[in-house]
This record gives sequence, C-alpha cells and structure tokens, in this order.
Amino acid sequence: MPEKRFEEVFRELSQDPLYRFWFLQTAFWLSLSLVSFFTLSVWYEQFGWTYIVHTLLQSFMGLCLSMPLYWVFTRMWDKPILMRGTVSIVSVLLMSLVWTAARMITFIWISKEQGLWADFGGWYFGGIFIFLCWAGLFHGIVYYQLLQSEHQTKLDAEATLRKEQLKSMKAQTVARDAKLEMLRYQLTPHFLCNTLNAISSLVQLNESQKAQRMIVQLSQFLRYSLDNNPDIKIALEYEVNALMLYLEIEKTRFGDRLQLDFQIDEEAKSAGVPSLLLQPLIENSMKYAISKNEIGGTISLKATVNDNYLTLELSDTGSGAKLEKSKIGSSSGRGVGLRNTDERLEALFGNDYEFDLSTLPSGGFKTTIRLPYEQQFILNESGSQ
Amino acid sequence: MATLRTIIVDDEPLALALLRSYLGSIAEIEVIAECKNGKEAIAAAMELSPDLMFLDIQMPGINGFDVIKNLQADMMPLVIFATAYEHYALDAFNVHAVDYILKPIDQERVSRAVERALQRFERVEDDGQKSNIISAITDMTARAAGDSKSVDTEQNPKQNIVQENVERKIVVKDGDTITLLKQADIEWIDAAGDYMCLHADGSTHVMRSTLKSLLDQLNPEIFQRVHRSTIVNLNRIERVIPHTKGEYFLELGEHDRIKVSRNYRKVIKGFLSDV
Repeated sequence: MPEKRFEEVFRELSQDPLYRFWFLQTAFWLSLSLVSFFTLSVWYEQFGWTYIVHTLLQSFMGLCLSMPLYWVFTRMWDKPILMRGTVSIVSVLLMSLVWTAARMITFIWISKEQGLWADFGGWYFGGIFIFLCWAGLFHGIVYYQLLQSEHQTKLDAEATLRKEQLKSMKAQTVARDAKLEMLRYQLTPHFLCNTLNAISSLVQLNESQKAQRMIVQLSQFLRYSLDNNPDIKIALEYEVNALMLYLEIEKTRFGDRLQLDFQIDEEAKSAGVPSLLLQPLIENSMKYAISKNEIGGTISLKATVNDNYLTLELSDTGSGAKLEKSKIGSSSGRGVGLRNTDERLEALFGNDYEFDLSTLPSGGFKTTIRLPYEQQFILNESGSQ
Repeated sequence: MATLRTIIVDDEPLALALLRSYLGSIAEIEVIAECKNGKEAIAAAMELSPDLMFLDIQMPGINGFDVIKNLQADMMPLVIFATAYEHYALDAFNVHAVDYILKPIDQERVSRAVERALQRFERVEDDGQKSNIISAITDMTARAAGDSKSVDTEQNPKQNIVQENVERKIVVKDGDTITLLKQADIEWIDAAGDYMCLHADGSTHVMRSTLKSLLDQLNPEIFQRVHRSTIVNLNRIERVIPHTKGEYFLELGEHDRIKVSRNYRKVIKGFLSDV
C-alpha cells in the first residue's frame, strides 16, 4: 500500500514542470560533484573533508549561478536567433567566470594553498565547459518537451477527430437503419393486408389447402425478413428460397400477371451474398412494374460466376406506361431502395463491386450486381422452405 | 326494394372473387361486370350504366381516383372504395364516396356499405356524385401544392364574342400551376357541380366554373353539349356508334368514349349531316 502511494505521489510530481526542473538541476550539479570527486580528489589522493566539502560547495554555487542563466535563457527564447545566441554565450562566459573565481577563492580559503591564481586559465576552461554543458542540456530538454507536447496535441486532435468520425458514422448507420425499417414497415402493412384479403378469399372459396399454404409462406417470409440480420452473408440459394416465399405469395395474389424466370448456375448457388440483398429490388419490381402493368410481366434473375466474380442480373418487363421510361432512372419511387442497396454494398465491399442500373428497350428495369465470389458454407435455415 | 346493378373493380383475381362471393349473398345486389383494371372499369361503366361500383384504388394503368376523373359525369355510379391503403380514407369520405372498406374485407362490413348505398340510391337519383368527388380531389391537390386558395377568377361571361372565342385559351388553375389550354386540344368536358373536368391530351384538368360560363368561353361551332353535364369537341369525334333507346356512343381517340343522351341526339344528327 505505501509503495503505491509513493508511486502515485511521484507520478504526480514528475508531471509538475517545476518539480522536474529542480530534480534535473539537482541531479546535474550532484553528478558534477561526483565526477570531480572521482577525477580530482581520487586522482590527487586528496581525501580530506576539506576537498569533499569544496566539491559540494562548488556544485551548490554552480546551481545558484545557473539560475540567472535560466532566467536569461527563458527571456531570450523568443528573440531573434543572432541576439539570442550572442546574449546566451556571453552570459555563459560571464557566469562561468564568476563561478571559477568563486571556486578558487573558496578553494584557497579552505585548503590554504598558495599560488593557485596562476592556474586560473585551466580552472576557467573547465568552468566554461560545464556551463556550456548545462546550457546544452537545458536547451535539449526544453526542445524535447516542446516536441513531446506538440506530439501529444496532435495525438489528442487525432483521437477527437476519430471519435467524431465514429460518432457521425454511428449516426448515419442509425439513420439508415431507421430509413430501411421505415421502408419495410411502409411496405409490409399493405402487402400484409392484401395477402390476408387473398387468404380470406381462399377460405371463402373453400380452397383450404391453398389458404394454408399461403399462411405458412406468409409466416416464413415475415420471420425471414423481420428477424434477419442484414449484416450476415448467406448462400445465394437460401436468399433465393426466401425470395420465392415472397414471390409465391405474390403469384397467388396476381395470378397470371406474374411470371418468373430464374436461372441460377450450380456454382452460384453456394456464393455468399448479404442477406436480403435482392428483396428490396424484387419488391421494387413488383411495385413499379408488375402491379403497374395491366397485362403483368416477368421478373428474371440470372446468377453466374465468372473470373471469381458473382454476377446477379435482375430485370423486369416494366410498367407498360410510356411515361415511366424517362422517369425510371431518376429517383422516382425506386430511388431509396436502390440507393440503400448501393450504400450497403459499398460498406461491405469497398470498391470491389459493381452496381449498374439500366432501362431495357422494352421499358423494363435491369439491375446488375457484381460481387467477389466467395463460397458460403454457413447456411441459414430460416431461409429454407 | 331496389336492386343495384353493380360492377366490381380490382386487379387481384382473389380479391374480386371474395367480393363477388360476399355480394352474391346480398339480394339487393346484382353484379353485372367484373373489371381487372381502371380501363375496363370505365368501359363497363359507359356500356352498362351501373348504379354502384366497388373500386380498388391501387391498380395498374388507371387507378381508382383516375377512373372517377375520366368517367363522364353523367355516367357516374355510386362508389364504394375497397383498398388496403388507409391513407386515402379521409379523402374518400370527403368526396362523399358511399363508403370506404379496408382490406381484408369482411361480409358484415360489405353488407353495411351496401345498405348505405341503397339509402343513398333511393334518396337521390342525382348527379351529385362526381361533383363531390372532384371537389375533394381538387382539395387534395391544392393541399398537396401547399395552396389553400384555389380561387376562381370568375371569367366574364359577357365577353362572348365568337371571333375572340376561337383563339382564346382556357385558363386552368390546378394547385399552384396555371395551364393555358388551347381550345382545339380539349377533347371533351364534363361538369361536376362547381367544377369542370377538361380532358385534353390524355390528362384531366380540373377548374372551378359553371357549365354555362365555360360554354360562353368556348367556340360554339366546335363545342356542343351531348348530355346534361357533358360537352364534346366535335372535331375530336372519330366514330359514332348508335346505342339502344336512341342513345349514341362517341369515340374520341383511342380510350375516350362518351355517351350521348336521347335529349341531345339532334346535336349528333346535325353534326353527322354537316360532315
């Protein structure tokens, strides 16, 4: 427990710049004492207390004299480089001069040695080096800290940016989900009511087996489309099975008006596709082509695998109205569903996919999707009949 | 007790079958035709002059509301809507449609709607049907255009100088757009109370006016009344088909068929002798 406390206090202190300054300052001058003790006192075999006291004393004096240097350096920090360099060097020379003089006076006073002033140049030379060293360390450390804090600011900014991005991405996803859900619920009640009306009709006509079949198809379709997680991939075969649930119901409702032409290659059946990928496109075709056309039409789906890509071609035979042709490519009705599909594919495959829309000469609408081919072994049972 | 001659209109075969089955057990209803789309509905209404029409709204080609717009006012039966879409309900009630049944439909609800239709049928043998509906449709489009004041600039009926009339365009305010219709482009017109439906180039323009003041604006040489509430552009007549009881059908272009009542047959006779 007490260790922890000490560490905590230490950590707090080490983050305080003032504390750090004094720590480094003390360390520098103490190590100078140690160095001079080992190089001078040991070398000259001067083990007397007087010498040890002198090394400590000169360190203390150096520490005191470095404080005016500190003041000068911080004052000069923002000045032009020439002025800053000149003033700094002059003050280093000055302070080392004062220090050398003080050291010698105290040394003579302590050791009572004579004739030392002749060696002043040697003492001064060492002093200059020590103060230059101090100045160098000071600048190095300050620059290092500036760099660190700059780096930290950058990191912080990046983190904030990433957080923002994440937030906006999340918001977009939520909005899109809501939109999809809204579309789903917009479609479902009318589809549901019409289907229930058809079932009611079958019951009225004593077609109980057909009615039962339709009820089962309807419940399976609802379970599949409402419970399915759109993030997972399933085998195309099961996606098509789920589509068939929906299309069988529509076939019962619309009778001869709905024809289907599905050609799924054997190899394509096991290809992984995002679940419910085709459902909105098929619903579009039902809504804007088959149910708008007095003689009905055909919905075709072709799935092939070429060069490691799965190609899905979905087309219908159009509404039969001349007007529609010019409108179809624009955002008329189908727009939202198509845009959502495109966005979804982009999120899943990046740039490695194709999503093409075209109008057929017959007035029909064709959607072509090309995805990287990837075998899917996990089969979704809820999609099977 | 009166019997209502009825046509039923729905694009789904099973929905038609259910309605037929329910109506089969109602003695006052005689189903005289079943139609799979709006076009068939208009043709059947013209041909058979039914008293009552069960009408789906979402249909291929011509939808339920378009059927009403395109049907000659003189031939308008009572209307009961049957649809899965609830959001037209308010408008349908505004239009004095007899009733509005939501799918899935049930026997009891259908019976109640038929009772209402019977009451309405016995009370008024009037031409009020289309007028109510058109005024409501106009309200709808005006609301949709964010324009509540569908003001009629009552054209001055005194300005009926023939020479001017020939070139004069008809000003139609529809929501917030103003359309200028060339007289020659107008195929036929029918009156629905305070509103006139101008049928031109396959679309229907609705304007507020009376039959009389509109007639005054039109060139009398080419526009003639052929029914109590119907005006036709004689130049647009492509075929004249005699019908029973001294009535005629006029065919204008591909789709439009107009009935000429007995009282106005002399107009057609005159037209035929002029050609």
